[in-house]
Amino acid sequence: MQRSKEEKAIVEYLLGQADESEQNRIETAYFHDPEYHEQILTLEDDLISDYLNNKLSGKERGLFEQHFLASHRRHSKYEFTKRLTEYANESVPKAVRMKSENTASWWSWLFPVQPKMAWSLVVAAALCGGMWWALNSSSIRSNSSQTGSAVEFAEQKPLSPELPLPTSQSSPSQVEISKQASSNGVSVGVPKATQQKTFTFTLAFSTVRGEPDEQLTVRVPAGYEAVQLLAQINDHPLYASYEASIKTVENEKIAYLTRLKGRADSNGAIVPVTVSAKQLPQANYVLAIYGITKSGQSVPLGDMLFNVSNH
Amino acid sequence: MSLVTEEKELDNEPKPVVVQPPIRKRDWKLSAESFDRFLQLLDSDREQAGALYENLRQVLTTFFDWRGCQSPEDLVDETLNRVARRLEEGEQIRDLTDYCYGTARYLVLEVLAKQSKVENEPDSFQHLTASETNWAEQLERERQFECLETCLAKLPTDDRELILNYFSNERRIKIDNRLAIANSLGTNLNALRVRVHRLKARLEKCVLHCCQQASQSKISK
Repeated sequence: MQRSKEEKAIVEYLLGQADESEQNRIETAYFHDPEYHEQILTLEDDLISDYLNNKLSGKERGLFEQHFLASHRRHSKYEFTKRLTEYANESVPKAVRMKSENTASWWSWLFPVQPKMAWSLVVAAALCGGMWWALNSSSIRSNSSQTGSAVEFAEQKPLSPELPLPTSQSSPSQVEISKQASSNGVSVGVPKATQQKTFTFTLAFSTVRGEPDEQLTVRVPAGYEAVQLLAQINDHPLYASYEASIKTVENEKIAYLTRLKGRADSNGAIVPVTVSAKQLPQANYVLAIYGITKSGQSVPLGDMLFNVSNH
Repeated sequence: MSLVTEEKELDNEPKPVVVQPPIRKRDWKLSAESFDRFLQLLDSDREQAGALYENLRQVLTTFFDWRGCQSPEDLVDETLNRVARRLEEGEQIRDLTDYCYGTARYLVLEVLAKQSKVENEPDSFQHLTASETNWAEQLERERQFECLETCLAKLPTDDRELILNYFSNERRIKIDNRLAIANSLGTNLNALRVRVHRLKARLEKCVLHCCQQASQSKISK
């Protein structure tokens, strides 16, 4: 936002940079003029929003962190604005969903929000499925005589075989999955692209295609206590930590996870989000991911819409 | 001789003249009369005087805060007490607001000098501070979100939509979100900012109250 000369002077005052005569001028003015005082309080709000939206200059950011946030009152105001911004951002996917209720394609409903993030959920689910399979397959094999049901499950055919992908995005993402899988040593059982450019998943949970108007579906088989969503976040640096919020599309809070550690990959970062399977009954969900900078700033990275069905 | 008789005898004796020592500045307390005198100087209409008093408190609070003082609320009390005491002592004050500002500036000089000494002391106990657990933070955050939802629900629909749209991430929307909101409301950006500021202040107050109540009910359980 462009600031007037007076607003610049007030911002300097708020950041502790005004000299004594300027301090006295501003203070005399706001002691006598309630509107001027309110203007300063409004600029306080603007400074906080600008900081949260990464719009301050380097010098201003430094002063904001060292001087502005040193005050308990201003820090509280900052925290409140941060929460309000998070809340406001989380309410957007719901609005998008409501607007798109009349659209025919579930894919076109899913992708206008955050194409990369939505697509990343597919990749993440694939990786997750592979990891779950790799972790469980050895124990399944070694205990096959005792756990017949597990063997039966491991040999189960895909629940639903195909997930059509947009042509423009399918190839790189398939390469990405293979690379990830081999580097993690879980290539066996990792869902691979078939010649029809489809993905299939048989373990832990999978993304399958549902009815035409259905959204991306995560199928969590019975018997699993935890669900790990690996959020692949492209085109973003690795943040000091991450926060994740899971809500239903009706805005019912499911979980808010903090201090999540991501790991870098060739395209960005992967953030594991683990919740209890009981927390995700059959419903439509929004997973929102935030990157937390070293200075504690929260950067919204996007939302993923998914549906959980058939535990 | 009973004790009662002794007391009666003592009552009949001439009492010594007790010279009251002057009340020390730090022991002076704001009386109802002093406060009334203060309000009277703000405005002869008591209701108006009350509103001006609240405004003066808020201005003083932000003044101390913007000057980097710790515990601004305590300093506001101290400033107003000093001014009220001066009034009681018979000082003629022409402009009460100016007088409060002047008193507050002196107080800042006193406080910041002490504050900087404290800040320069090594924080030898810092290592003993227990870090907050992730779980506790998460609970607190959950509580804040719940209260935020409760307080947002209390707002009129237009205000609720306005504040949520205003604070939704601008990166999500390509055009300048706030300018678009201002245009849709037929107002300018400055008027919108002030309106949102007032709404947000109300909301923040409500959330703070809600969180405090939630904490208290948790403790009482």
